Amino acid sequence: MLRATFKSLMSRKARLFLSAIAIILGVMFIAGSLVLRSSFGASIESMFTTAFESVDVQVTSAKTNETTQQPEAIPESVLAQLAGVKGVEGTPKGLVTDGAGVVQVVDKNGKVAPGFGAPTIAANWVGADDPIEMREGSGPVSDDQVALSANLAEANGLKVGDKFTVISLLDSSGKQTFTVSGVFGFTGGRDTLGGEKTMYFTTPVAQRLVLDKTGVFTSIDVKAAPGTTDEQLRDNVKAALGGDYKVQTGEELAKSVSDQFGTVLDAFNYVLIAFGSIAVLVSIFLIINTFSIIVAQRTRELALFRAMGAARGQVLGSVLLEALFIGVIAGVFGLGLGILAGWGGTAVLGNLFGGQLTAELSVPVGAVIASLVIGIGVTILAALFPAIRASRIPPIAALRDAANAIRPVWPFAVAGGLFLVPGAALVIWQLSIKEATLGVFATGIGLLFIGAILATPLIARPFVSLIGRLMSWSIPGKLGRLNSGRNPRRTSITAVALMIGVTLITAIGVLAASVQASFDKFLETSLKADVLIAGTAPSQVPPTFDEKILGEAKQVQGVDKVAGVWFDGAAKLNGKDVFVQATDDLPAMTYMLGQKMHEGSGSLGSGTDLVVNQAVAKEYGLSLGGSATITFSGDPAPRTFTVSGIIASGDSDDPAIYVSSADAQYFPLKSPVQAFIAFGDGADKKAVTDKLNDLLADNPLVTVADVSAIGDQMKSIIDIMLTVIQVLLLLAMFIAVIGVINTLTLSVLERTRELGMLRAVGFSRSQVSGMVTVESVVISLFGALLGIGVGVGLGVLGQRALKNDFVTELALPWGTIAGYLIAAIVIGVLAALIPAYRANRLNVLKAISYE
Amino acid sequence: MASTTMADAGIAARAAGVWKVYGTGEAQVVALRDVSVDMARGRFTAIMGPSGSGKSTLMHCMAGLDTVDRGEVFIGDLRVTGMSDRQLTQMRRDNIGFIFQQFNLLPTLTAEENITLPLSIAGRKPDRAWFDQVIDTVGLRDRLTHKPTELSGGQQQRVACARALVSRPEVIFADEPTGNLDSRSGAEVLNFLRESVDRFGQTIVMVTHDANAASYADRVLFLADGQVVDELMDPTAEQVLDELKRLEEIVAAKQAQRAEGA
Ligand SMILES: Nc1ncnc2c1ncn2[C@@H]1O[C@H](COP(=O)(O)OP(=O)(O)OP(=O)(O)O)[C@@H](O)[C@H]1O
Ligand SMILES: [Mg+2]
Repeated sequence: MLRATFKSLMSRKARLFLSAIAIILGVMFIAGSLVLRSSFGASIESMFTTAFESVDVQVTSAKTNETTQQPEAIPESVLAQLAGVKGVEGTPKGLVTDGAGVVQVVDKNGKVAPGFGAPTIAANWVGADDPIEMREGSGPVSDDQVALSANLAEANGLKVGDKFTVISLLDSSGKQTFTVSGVFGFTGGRDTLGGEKTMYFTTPVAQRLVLDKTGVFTSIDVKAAPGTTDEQLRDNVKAALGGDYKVQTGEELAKSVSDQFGTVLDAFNYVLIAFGSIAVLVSIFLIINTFSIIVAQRTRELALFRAMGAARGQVLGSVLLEALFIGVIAGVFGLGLGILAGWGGTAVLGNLFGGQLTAELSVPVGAVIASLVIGIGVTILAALFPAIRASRIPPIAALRDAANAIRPVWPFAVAGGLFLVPGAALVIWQLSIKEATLGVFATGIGLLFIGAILATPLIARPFVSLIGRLMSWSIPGKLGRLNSGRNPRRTSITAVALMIGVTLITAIGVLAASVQASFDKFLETSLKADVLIAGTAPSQVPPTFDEKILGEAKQVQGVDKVAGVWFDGAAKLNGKDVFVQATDDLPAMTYMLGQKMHEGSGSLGSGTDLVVNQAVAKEYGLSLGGSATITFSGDPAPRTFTVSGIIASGDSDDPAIYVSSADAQYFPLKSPVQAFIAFGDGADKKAVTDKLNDLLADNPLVTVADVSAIGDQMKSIIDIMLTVIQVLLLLAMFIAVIGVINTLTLSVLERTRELGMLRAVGFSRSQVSGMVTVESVVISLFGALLGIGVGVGLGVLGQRALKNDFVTELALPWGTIAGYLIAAIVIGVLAALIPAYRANRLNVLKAISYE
Repeated sequence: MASTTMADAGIAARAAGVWKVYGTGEAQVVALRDVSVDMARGRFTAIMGPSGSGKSTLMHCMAGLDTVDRGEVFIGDLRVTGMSDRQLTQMRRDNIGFIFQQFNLLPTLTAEENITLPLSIAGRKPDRAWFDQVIDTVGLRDRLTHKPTELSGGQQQRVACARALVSRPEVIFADEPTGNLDSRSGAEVLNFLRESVDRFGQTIVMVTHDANAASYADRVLFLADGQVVDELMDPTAEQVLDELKRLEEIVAAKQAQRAEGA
């Protein structure tokens, strides 16, 4: 039996190769993701290990600053305290490092350029220690000097002696210009350690720019005296300073910093693994189909085994053994390719980080286990049903031509119903109640999805004959259509593999289009502002501008309304964390945001007035005239407010809390962060915008943004997101296409005799190709239509569920949907190439005389 | 021109000095050695001979399904030898009808669709009157909408006959068309073939092992070892059987001779 299995394997190399490829790709993707995660993590850790090589022990504050989300500053006095600790060599070094993008580079246009990728870091100069290597000039010796890393100098085209301008988000003194005193690199001739750009100032300047205070540091480096290990020193320092400080050795520091990257990498990794799992899911269908077809074709052979006395278990075992063999090959090859892909990916990512990150290869045990488990497990699982069916073949089948018996589809209706009914119930229930739970809703959607997959064979026959009718103008078209409807199960399973990807991308597309439409609608109907003053560069601390701009803007001809906005993201309302906004003109603000008062006054009369929306009023039990206590994060004293007005919330649950701009003095950022500006009727938009921009000449962190441009920006972000998802789904699609090729190839083989007969009675080669192509196109269109149908359904349900969370409008991306249909036709035509070629290569004589 | 004379002379298919060799060296088999035959128009010719004598090979070569190694093949006015695949396909479609031993029909099509298949392939409409006449002759009127799986073996073979006939080909080639049928169904099919020769002047070439089947033909060609060794006109079953017996003795003697020579 073992020998028979092996022989049968070898005689089907081509088809098994195709199925194996599908799993190999899935395994490769998942293993690759894991290897990428691990290798990239190792590369980053090695980068930080280099960066902190010269650090023995570092001290930071254990507390976090609310505004910058960085550790609090350490007072200078700690330096002296540390100098006396046992095992400390020399004077500890106080360091100032900007971890929150507080210091921004101002470009030649006087603006802060929006930056992406690796950060630009400001710090204090403590000497050209390892790993820093001076290239030109020297470190900053006076307060008007700065030293730049080679990549920063190059990016801005600067040499020693040139001027260099920065602005601090915390220090209110505006733009500040320095002279470049030197340019440095890092050991090994590197321009940067990991793509980051660095600028060094003298300690007092760095303190002022980064922390807006003097006499404080962000961290302190302590050197160990000879004979003291880093760990001993760490423990000594810890004992001396107490619990307010975090004390780490250089090694621990490298690890903890790279672990911070780790959480980002993990998120990224989960996304990749999710898409890899989709690919694996798709390949399951492909394998089920391949094995089903093989078993169908071997019916006589297997029945003969049974007739000769083979037990059921032996037949089952023989098919599963074949699966095991493929699974092992797929697991091993998938792992190998995954390691290569992961390593390559690390190198590519390293390039994104400035090309300086050395790609280390790290293969986690998890990747090896996952590859083998997925490769073998998935194959065996997928082969199980066909194997069981094979074992049920009665010996008598050897005497019958039962190979093409069409099996009933009703079990699929039952199985589909088992998922569809509870799925629908969950979804309807969740949509009918107000406080829907995401998890429950998603479970409902998942059940609907699985149900739809299972019920597919049921609709395959009518659906396929409908699609096919469009194509049966010629005899090859008609035969192709009939062939595709011949085995509904086979056609469905093949189509479902395509459907999965199309469903996901369509559902996401519908949601994205709906978000876009809702946003556009909001901009159009609710947002009465014409322009917005806001920051350009992303940073932890929101960029601010001078308050007097608000008054100046009001004076500009053509400007009708101006409302400045101040943020406190860490205030406490009656003890709970909230986001509070202050404004100098609440009526203008609510008008421009399209908000209506529910009750009370629409303006903030005094510094103790508070206006909230209904959502907040309900959550905190506030009513008009009632009082509330707010503690702002820029001032420790709790303050009492009186609710002077309540804004209508409509269906939205989004909170809104407004106080007067007089209270902004208690905010951590005392300057406005945004301003909404509405123009008067007939104002020349361009001219007014230009004038406003002129006002902002001395405020490099912000610009005037056209509100309609925000919609476009949103659109481009959504487009990028959709593109990324499409690219990630390409693998699953590719596997599905292999599935179509596989099914067609096996069908062609199965119909050898028919093809021979057709050719004998005058069917030409191009007609054979036409027939196979139509079959292929019918299958792929079926898959695409299913996917679009189910995807639109899920997308609509998703929009319904998010109706109260801003996604108020439903929009269907018709253009994209049409694109998928065209793509399906193209895929169908391409997938038919190989099977059609094989069909044409058939020797007519052999085909008709073959038993 | 030669072909014009051939058609005029009432020859529907001709093999002239045809050789067919399979394999090389040790494994070489000469399937046809210098075979020359003419198939008269409007006649029913049977080809007989022991297994492996080259009957199927001869038929395949004459029908343009296989190429010859030496010699020439003609169908009507057409020189088959040297045709491209495209020309061969068209020739088979328009000038030849086939009836195989089994698996003649497409399971996805109804009987009627199977019958008109060669016409559909060519993009032609069937001539209704002719179609009706053929259907009535094979007696399939009430089975036209049935799928092949819903027909008996004999009915399936009659559908195949109707298909071969409906495009009015120059020649119909049939390779053991009754080989899989019981004697009654076989007789139906043979009667039908005979009738289409008598009534419609159809040319038919049929390979068979059955002396009784051969007795339906106007002429029987006997093949042995890749050569035409004999022929009978208007044969009876007994004559055919006698001739076959004689042939077998000759073949056995030849083989014995070869074995001695080796
Ligand atoms: N494709 C092939 N390759 C090699 N030899 C072949 C091939 N086809 C036929 N032959 C050989 O050519 C000879 C004639 O074969 P053919 O099929 O014409 O015989 P036949 O008279 O039809 O026999 P049967 O009555 O058994 O059908 C045989 O010896 C056969 O083995
Ligand atoms: Mg034969």
